[in-house]
Amino acid sequence: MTDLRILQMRLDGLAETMQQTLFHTAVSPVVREGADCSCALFTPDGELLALSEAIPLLLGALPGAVSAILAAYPVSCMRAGDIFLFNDPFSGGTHLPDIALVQPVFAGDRPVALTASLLHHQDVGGARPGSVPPDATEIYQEGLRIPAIRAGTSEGFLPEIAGMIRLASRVPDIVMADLEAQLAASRNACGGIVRICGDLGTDAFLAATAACLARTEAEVLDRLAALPSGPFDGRDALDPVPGLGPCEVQVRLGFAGGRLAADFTGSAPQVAAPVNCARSGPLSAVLYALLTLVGDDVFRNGGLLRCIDLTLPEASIVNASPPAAVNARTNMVRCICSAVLRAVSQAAPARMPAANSGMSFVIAFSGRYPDGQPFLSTEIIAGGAGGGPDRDGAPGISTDVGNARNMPAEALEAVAPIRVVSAGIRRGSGGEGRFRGGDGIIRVYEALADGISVSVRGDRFTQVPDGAHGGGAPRPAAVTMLRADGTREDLPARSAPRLDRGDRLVIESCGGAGYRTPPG
Amino acid sequence: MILSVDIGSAFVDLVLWDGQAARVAKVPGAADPHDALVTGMDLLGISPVDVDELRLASTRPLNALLARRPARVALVTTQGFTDTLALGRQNRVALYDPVAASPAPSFLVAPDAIYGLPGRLDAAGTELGPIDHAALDAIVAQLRATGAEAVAVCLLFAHVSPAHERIVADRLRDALPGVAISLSHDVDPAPREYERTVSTVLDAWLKAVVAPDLARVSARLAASGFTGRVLFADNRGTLCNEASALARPARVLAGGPAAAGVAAAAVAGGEALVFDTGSVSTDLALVGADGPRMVDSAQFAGVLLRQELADMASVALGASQGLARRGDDIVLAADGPARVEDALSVLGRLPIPTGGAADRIALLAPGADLRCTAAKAIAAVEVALAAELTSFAARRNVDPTRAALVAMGGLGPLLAAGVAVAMGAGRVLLPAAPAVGGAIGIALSRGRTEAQIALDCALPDIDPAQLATWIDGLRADLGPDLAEGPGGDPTCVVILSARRQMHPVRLALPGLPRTGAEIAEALIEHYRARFGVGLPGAGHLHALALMRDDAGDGCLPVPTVTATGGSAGTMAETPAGHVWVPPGWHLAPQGAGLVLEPVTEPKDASR
Repeated sequence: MTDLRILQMRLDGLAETMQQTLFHTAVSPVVREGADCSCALFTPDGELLALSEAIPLLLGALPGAVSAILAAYPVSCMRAGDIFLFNDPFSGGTHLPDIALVQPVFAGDRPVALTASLLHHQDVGGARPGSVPPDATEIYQEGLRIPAIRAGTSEGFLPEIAGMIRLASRVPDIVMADLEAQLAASRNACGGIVRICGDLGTDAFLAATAACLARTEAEVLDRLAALPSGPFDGRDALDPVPGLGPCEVQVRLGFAGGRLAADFTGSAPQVAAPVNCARSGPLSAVLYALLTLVGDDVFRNGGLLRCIDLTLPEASIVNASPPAAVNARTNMVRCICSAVLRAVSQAAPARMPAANSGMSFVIAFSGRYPDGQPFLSTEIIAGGAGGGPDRDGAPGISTDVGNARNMPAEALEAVAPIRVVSAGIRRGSGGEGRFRGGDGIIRVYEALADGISVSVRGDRFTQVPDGAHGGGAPRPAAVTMLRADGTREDLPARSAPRLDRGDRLVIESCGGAGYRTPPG
Repeated sequence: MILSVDIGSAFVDLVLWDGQAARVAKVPGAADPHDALVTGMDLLGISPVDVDELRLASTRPLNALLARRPARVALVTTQGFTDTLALGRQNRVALYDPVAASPAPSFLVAPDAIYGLPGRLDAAGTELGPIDHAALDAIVAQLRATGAEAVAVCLLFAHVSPAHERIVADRLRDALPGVAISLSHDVDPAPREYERTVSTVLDAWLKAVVAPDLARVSARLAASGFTGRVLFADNRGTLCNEASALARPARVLAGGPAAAGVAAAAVAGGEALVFDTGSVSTDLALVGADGPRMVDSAQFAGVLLRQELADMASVALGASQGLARRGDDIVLAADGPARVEDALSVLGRLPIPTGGAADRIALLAPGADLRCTAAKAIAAVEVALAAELTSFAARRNVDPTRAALVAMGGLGPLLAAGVAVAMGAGRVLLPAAPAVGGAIGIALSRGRTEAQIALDCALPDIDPAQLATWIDGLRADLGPDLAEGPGGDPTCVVILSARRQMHPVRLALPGLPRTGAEIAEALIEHYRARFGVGLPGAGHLHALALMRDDAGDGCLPVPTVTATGGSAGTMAETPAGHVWVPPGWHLAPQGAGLVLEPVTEPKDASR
């Protein structure tokens, strides 16, 4: 066990402690139940030092946020205790509810690291509660856009910054409490890093962290050089929507010279719908793919990012420009990841299962209790895993860039006038095969009050992934409204229905694809 | 006399404390732990009649769980939620493995033994639909037909109102006499249906598979005249009475490993990393001066334990670990032709050589020097253990090269020096009788008596009179001796969260609270100290408990250090177990234990 490995493990442990702090101190259900947050440590230059075991969907966002903050506030002008906020998708962020909080760590008077966390906040304004309007066409409808700003000190937020955020949000107390949780996570990690500097000495710490990054870079170059150089093409697309065009993602992966080149040329232009994503989306997907390729003994730090070359067409669905709407980015990043994994399957066929569902539902319920008290709760529903290469796919499980946890009925019903009638495996929805695709999930909700707004964002309602090596395709996702009066409506992949008392909403996620021809 | 007994998979370890001195024994007990216990008592020169207090830990439940032993356990849950266990929290074990696998312990209940029952409560515990008695009858008929050994009942919102679970329990107890019934509101009265289901089915599984074994030990001693009290080592490094251990077997699942942490804390006197290597596994823990560090929940043996427990881990690496050859290397491999104990035997590091050891080691590298092959194998084992320890410590932000390292168990002292070298630690501490370290930990543990009530109450809404009533009720449950002990009031422990739905924390209060505001102060201080932020809510109380630990008598029930031998390159003998002292190292008494370190290394009292 080398000293570098011990150091990397301690840093990983600190990032994980930050994640646990958010879990214990965040107020909003999507964080404390869904774990829709991510934490990391960076060098003072903005290179990634360590990551929490969080949602890979957010992996690409923290480096972008830190770069944006360092561009506005060079580390030389940062002071101990400063905290910075940021959420702008077009200069490194994801979508507006994901606010990054960054804090420099000083050992004595020397900056030695930065801590960063990203948390999906319940509401930052915009056209609809939850700041994820499925009908948005421009980012201006999606809420408060925050450039890199100095927002206060570890003692608290500047009153004018807090005031601005509070005025923008429908649930200001919850947003401020969750920002405090991010502050708590940062403070914990700062203390931990100072302890390591005390153990090793500051000079030795800085030298060792640089060595950790260099070691990862060298190992990644070495391992990628062992892969066939390619190119390998992958493509995928969101469900077609009338008037929106094809929303197709194309990627060409190559491993020449031990680097991972991902060229998204040919992907569709951005659309007037919230399904676009900014650069952090393809970066997350490609970084995730790289992490699956290099194995679990490589240090997970910025050495990985040094080996990635991204080519992204401007103003496209994979690299949107202002004023594109981006709130429903999740399924676009899933789609990008599906395309990337399809290409990876050609480079490393023995390790890769059939395609997973390639989707997840993001559902937000909001409204008021009959006594006037407001509520807002967001949850994420997974599909099935792909079958193979040596077993059936798991049912109802977060895959690739997803890792959100589900919403317990006992957690949802305690904060919203909604009954979860059932929550189970959607049997038969996985693709057939020698190794079956994992089934999706079926959840049935019943409204206990009138006028509940729902934001539904899903995908794979019409286009489902093909099976691998002769395996079958899964059943598509679906959303059905069963009105209290007995009428039934099939809803599209993105919708904003209103539920009245007694109405039932049935959410069915897509299964995973099957692997090889089924026996018999 | 107090007899502490640690039942392992191959040996039974005993520590006898007569108030003056401690004596130890280690007896082979793979076939029948009771026979081994009787043999051990003979060796110690006592009979069951002499024992005032029997303290037990057994690794057998943990081994059964690790082996995923099948059991006919059934689960009755709310209709519409029969897949809750299979789906888990929809997360996966390894984030970057392209094949997604769920951490949910679905093996605890067969899918066709999960029954959905109509009937529903809401989040306030109000009945929305009554229990469907016809459906319940049909389930009972199925349980009878399938011969269920234990039934878990976990209904939605039972932590708020147990009414529906009680109806089901009454019916099951009537219809299925002798079948263990586990009710979620009893086992783990806290929100989140998946986590509560896991706690409840684990309780049922343990009652079906291992609780009868646990109860048999004291029952058989009682038949031989034993009339003393029986305590079990629990997952926190304390002792609980037999009734509560058998009622909640998950609380004593890791009693042995937690006790090893108690022994390590006594030996190290400060922060230390302990490993206890036995026949089939190695237990790891990080301890402070007061004993094992605590966590509020942990994944242990592949199952989520939502309870207070020592921060520890168990890895499958022990004497029976297989070894195989890969190229020029010897590696750990479950299906390998030789075992770790074979390699130790060839190297002369086992007091009794293992039969056929040389032949099996020869299979690893035909024609090669046997000792050379065995030494390579042991080096691989030591490196693997060092990697586990390093990872365990580093992930908790403890530099493993700086923390004290404590080794125990049958194999720990034989591998200790090599592990220390592999992880960069300067030296190793050992209990006085290292092969029975767990039993020493049990002897050092204090009994804890507690009474708890589940509550669901916002702190600002607590009426002081009501709070006093709850505390009086808990005092009555503790009994007059403990409620008004010589050390003042019992300790009050609260389980509470900032807001009702947030994840709870467990806090010991400075005294008995008189108002909700006093409880809130403790939570505010906890948030300030641990997270550096204000409390994001008004505070919500989930449970209130009173507890009292037995007073120690100031004596250490550990044997006098009488290690013999111990010159470099030999095996030193202790009251229980041998220590391998490599060339250039020496073994010496220190405090309540032993220290093993290189001869050339200058002594540094701070480490």
